[in-house]
Amino acid sequence: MNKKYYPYVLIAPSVLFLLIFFVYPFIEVFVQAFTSSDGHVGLSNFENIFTDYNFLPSLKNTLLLALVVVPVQLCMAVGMSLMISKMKKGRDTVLYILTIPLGVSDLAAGIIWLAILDQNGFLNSFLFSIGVIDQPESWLNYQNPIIIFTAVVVAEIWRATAILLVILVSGIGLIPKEYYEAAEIFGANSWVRLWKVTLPLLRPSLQTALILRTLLAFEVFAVVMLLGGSNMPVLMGETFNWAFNYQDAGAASAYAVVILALSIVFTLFYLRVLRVPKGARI
Amino acid sequence: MTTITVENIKKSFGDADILKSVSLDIKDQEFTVLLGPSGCGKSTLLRIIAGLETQDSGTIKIGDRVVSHLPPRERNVAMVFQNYAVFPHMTVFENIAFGLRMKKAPEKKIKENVERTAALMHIDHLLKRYSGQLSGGQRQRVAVARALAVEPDVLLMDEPLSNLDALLRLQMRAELKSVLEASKTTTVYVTHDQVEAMSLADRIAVMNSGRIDQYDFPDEIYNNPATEYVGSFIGNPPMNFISPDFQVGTVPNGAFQLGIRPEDFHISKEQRDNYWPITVLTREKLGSHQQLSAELNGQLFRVNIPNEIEIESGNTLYLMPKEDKKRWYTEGGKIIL
Amino acid sequence: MSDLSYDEILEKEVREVNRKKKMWRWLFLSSVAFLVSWILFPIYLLVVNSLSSADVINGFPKNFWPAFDMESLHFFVNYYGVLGALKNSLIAALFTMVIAIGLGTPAGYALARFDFRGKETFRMLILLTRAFPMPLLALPLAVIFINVGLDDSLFGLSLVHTALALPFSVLITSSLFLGIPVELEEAAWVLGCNRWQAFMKVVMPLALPGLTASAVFAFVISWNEVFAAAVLTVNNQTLTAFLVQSLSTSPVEVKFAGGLILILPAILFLFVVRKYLFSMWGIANR
Ligand SMILES: Nc1ncnc2c1ncn2[C@@H]1O[C@H](COP(=O)(O)OP(=O)(O)OP(=O)(O)O)[C@@H](O)[C@H]1O
Ligand SMILES: [Mg+2]
Repeated sequence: MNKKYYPYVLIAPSVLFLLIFFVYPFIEVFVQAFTSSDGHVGLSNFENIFTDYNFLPSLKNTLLLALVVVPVQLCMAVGMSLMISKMKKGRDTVLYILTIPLGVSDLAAGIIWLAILDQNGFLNSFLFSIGVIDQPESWLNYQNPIIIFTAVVVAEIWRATAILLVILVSGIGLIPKEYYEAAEIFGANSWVRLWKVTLPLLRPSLQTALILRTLLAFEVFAVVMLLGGSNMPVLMGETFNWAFNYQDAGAASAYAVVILALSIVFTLFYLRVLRVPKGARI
Repeated sequence: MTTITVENIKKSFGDADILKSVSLDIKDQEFTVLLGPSGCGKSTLLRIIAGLETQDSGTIKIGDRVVSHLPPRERNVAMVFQNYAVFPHMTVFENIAFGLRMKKAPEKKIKENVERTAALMHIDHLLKRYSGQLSGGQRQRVAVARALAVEPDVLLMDEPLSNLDALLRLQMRAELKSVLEASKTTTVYVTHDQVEAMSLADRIAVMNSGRIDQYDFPDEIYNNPATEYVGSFIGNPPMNFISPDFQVGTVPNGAFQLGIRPEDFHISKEQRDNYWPITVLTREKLGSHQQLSAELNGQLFRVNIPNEIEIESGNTLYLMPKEDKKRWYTEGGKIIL
Repeated sequence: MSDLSYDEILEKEVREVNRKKKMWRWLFLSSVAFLVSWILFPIYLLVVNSLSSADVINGFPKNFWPAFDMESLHFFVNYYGVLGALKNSLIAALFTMVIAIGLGTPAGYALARFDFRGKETFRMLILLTRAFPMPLLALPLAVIFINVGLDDSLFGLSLVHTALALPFSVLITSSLFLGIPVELEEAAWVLGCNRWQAFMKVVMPLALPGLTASAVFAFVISWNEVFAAAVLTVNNQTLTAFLVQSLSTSPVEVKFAGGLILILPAILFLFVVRKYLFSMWGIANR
């Protein structure tokens, strides 16, 4: 066999696989979304979901969640990665522990926080034992939408900061030490070094981290389902409901298209805002 | 009989012609050095001989066998890489035995050959180690032993000494020379270090951006550079090239430039007939002699003079090129014989 | 003028600097301690819950100390459908792991070792998959699977999970192979190996630890995936699908024990791959 064909033979299986299981279903999502139940091309699926009373709340909740969670996590992850880059002894252990949530699904994270925030949960037990409350309070009910939202935010921060941390730690690892030393010699204190050296050079990693994390925020649903149930609809949860509970593939696909659209908008936004000029990379 | 015949090899990467019709006839047991500046295509030529790269046209013969179309494993060559490429997951013994194992040599022969070559390269005490536990020089020895152990028809080396420090390089150079002389393997050796080339080579092929300008014995290369390029690449400082617009004696037909090495002048402090009055620009004392850079009618050249001559920059000195050392070059830079 | 001698001033300054240093050090250590417990404590509480009897879990107030009561776990294991779901999760994750590595490794090798037309297009295709919420693709695939008889099958599910894991496996393996000098392979070719032998004898042993890590990564991706699993499996539910779909019906102790079972392998596997986690991401960033 001619050597020229080796690489094509090697990538052929992956390409074929991605065509069947990524490109094709990707197109199918759109086809299904724009095909009404009677088989005609049209917007009836979108009319269905837009007029559904859960659509606007779920859109609002999803966006709000991303808007609150992602910046907080980003700041935390930057702080944590700087902290870790300063550590010597025990660095590996701490890193391992801080990245444990990476292996925890949002379902499991929801269960963990349910154990804490439930009416009979550990938070109430603690508050009870120090005398703040004298009977178990039900925090996560429909009367407290803000508390539910906060609970989801906390659970998400607990669960998904790890992915940002990993990306940023490896990004920091790629920055040569000489830059810091040079900055220090020219009189930059650690605060200036952070803003003038670390963060600018970390921009590619920040970009990846933000894109990935924001998309994950749009995909969230099991945590919300556990902590908020039907009291806090989110886009992915609604997609699941339409697909699974109402067995309406068209409407579910319409929801999927909405999520995809959001993802694209945000990805392009980050790519633009955090653009790294060519040649200005490490 | 293991000769290597390289015939009209051409190679380009994209639209860059890296090798422009290269031919070489390497004799049996000969040690040939490919010498040239960085990027001139030495490694590419070596890799084509090894079969790691495919030529666009031309043929390679090893002995009487045309090998141009064969994969590396069927050419019975061995190669020493610049970064040694000692397998990190195998012991030194397994590294050296690797080629023999691939040839399914009997265990007894493997053991014999490994021990012999390891002893030859003075690494017989390291056989159980892994490459991570070796110094650069030791790794280099393993790479050579691994190449010799397969008893190849042809040994190819791509700057095998360039990653060693200066002192070790000298020592290894001497050692390589004696080992390879004893092994009688036809060898092609790539370097950009002319001293290394001069001291190791039976014959040197000087490469100039994809061409071989001269393929000859080291003395010949030094004394009769075939082209202006070879003259200015070999020698430190290189040959002077002077336009004959002042008194230089008889100029042969078609001559464009006079080539003369810095040490090949008659020197005088007083004016004499046919001597050039040169103005000394700088003087460097190099221990064994002094090196001047000087100027005459706007032409710069270098001169080596004995330590006894006292001279300051700005002074005038009188020179005459030695008649038998003069070389003449055409406008195209070719020597006139 | 001060009464202090030069030495005394110096000593005072040194003390001041040391005090500041100490303060920073203390602040630093306590924030590390805080973050570590922020991660570990919730997990600990889940463990406490899983090791308590149903009465304790439903009781109030809670004890912050595990009772080491196996009743919940026992109940969980015997709860209808759990064992099957556990087995299904394992099978789907193993399938995913094998397919993702099997397809991804050759592609990663091609990216690392060859220059070919379309290389950048291929890389773009791989990177593109990261810019989309992949589990959504389970929706149309559910329909297609019914047509080809793959509905409610673990194999079908693991194909979807592979779509999630494959891009990572390609990028990770290609970075692994890039880290292995080409000269090692070339040396093997010159010494008598063909491409395949050189790969098996030289590249593979060196890449193996990294390959294991990326396999584990694929496993965890599948093991944790909820949405596609819930959409695609009905009778052959995985553990995540089972838990999600029985949220309202199953007793609490099943949830908590299930949560624990869900995170255990992930924690273990992360421990195995911890060395590669960062190099994996460092490269996958590019
Ligand atoms: N695979 C390749 N693709 C494109 N260009 C290449 C490739 N390999 C070599 N080249 C180019 O071919 C030219 C010659 O390369 P080669 O490695 O033969 O030089 P060299 O003489 O060995 O130099 P050095 O002394 O630096 O090793 C260089 O300009 C190089 O950039
Ligand atoms: Mg080279």
